[in-house]
Amino acid sequence: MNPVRTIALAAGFALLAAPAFAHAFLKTASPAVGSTVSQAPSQVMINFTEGVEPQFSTITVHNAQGQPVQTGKPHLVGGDTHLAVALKPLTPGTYTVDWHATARDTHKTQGTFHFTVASK
Amino acid sequence: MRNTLPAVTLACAGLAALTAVPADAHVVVGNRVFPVTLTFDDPGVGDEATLPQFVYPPTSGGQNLYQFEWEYDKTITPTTAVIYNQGWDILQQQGMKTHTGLENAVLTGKWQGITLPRSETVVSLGVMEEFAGSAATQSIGGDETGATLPTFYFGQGLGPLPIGLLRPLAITGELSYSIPNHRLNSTGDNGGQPFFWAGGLSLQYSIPYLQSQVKNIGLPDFFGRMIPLVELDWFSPAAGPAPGLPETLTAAPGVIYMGDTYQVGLEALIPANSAAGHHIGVIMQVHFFFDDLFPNTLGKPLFQ
Repeated sequence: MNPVRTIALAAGFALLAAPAFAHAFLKTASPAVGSTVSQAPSQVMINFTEGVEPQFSTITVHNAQGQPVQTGKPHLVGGDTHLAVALKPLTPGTYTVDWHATARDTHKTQGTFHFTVASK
Repeated sequence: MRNTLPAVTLACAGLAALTAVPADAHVVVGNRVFPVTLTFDDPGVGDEATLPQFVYPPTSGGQNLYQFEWEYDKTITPTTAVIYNQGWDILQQQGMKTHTGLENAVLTGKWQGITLPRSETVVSLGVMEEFAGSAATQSIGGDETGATLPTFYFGQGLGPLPIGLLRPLAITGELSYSIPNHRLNSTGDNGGQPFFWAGGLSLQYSIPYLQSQVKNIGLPDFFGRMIPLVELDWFSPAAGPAPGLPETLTAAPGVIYMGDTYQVGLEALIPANSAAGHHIGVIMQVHFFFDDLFPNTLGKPLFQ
């Protein structure tokens, strides 16, 4: 068979055979990555590109002094792509969100971002 | 592997530095995803495949070379892999018959020795082995004899630095030293190869990193998956005679689109010195991540 045709067929097969698994990366977050919000949020929610396993995924939130401000464990909201954790009442300042996600195919990913609660 | 043309053709070649260091692999290190660079290898190991890569390299002297290439990366353990590269080429030369043939096969053994997630650092070592092919391979510029290339790879993200919107930047690189199985003589007509250095360097700006780690600027999903980058490829004879094989430097600006289970890259190939060619070329690559596509079969190491 023509090598070019072989390559094209193989590529097509690979695409058709692709199941819906991949690394879970942050798609969007609330509060948004790097944002400044006027109202203190009651939770941090991350929307991942793939479904995650909540038992093996974490979200921790720290204030500028390094103290944790999340309460309880992260939990799914709606489908398995939205992971949220509740927060204590926040005062104005900058907060750091660290997340570790385990996707359904067991791949692990992680990330860090900040958001700021503005002074009133 | 470098497609060295026979001595007569080499005088006007300028081909090939681009294929000096084949093999690709994407790697996740802490918050950083290093994508597959197009003209040289990435710093890590993975289960994946390039299928296909098309290269129209800069050439001179009335030549046109079209390369259809492929690659398969298989992890043996989580930090070691074996990589296979090859391609099928069409070489057109003014006033001469068009030649086609398989490129020389290249096997690479690679060890991802240092992985530092917090500092977004990865360092690997590898050894590439080029296997000499048939007469058809030589007719499209393939080496008549093989070579062994000890190779160093690195990747460094700038995310940990306090540099604001420049944190999505990353640098990756590769440096190989080629030890020929049969050394080229001073007249360049004994079918040998010279000792040579081949290197690659990339500067990348990850929009996904910007959107997910630094500041979500509200880009649509399509643009939020782009990684603009510039790759530089360098080839230089190292010691002894290398007639017809001058030092070459090529710049490759372009962009990579990161899908969930694949990536697509497109770069221009711009000769940075006259020996690297006399026109702008192009490289396009489709690359699949088998660790995502087939996590329980082809996509995991043979030994965990």
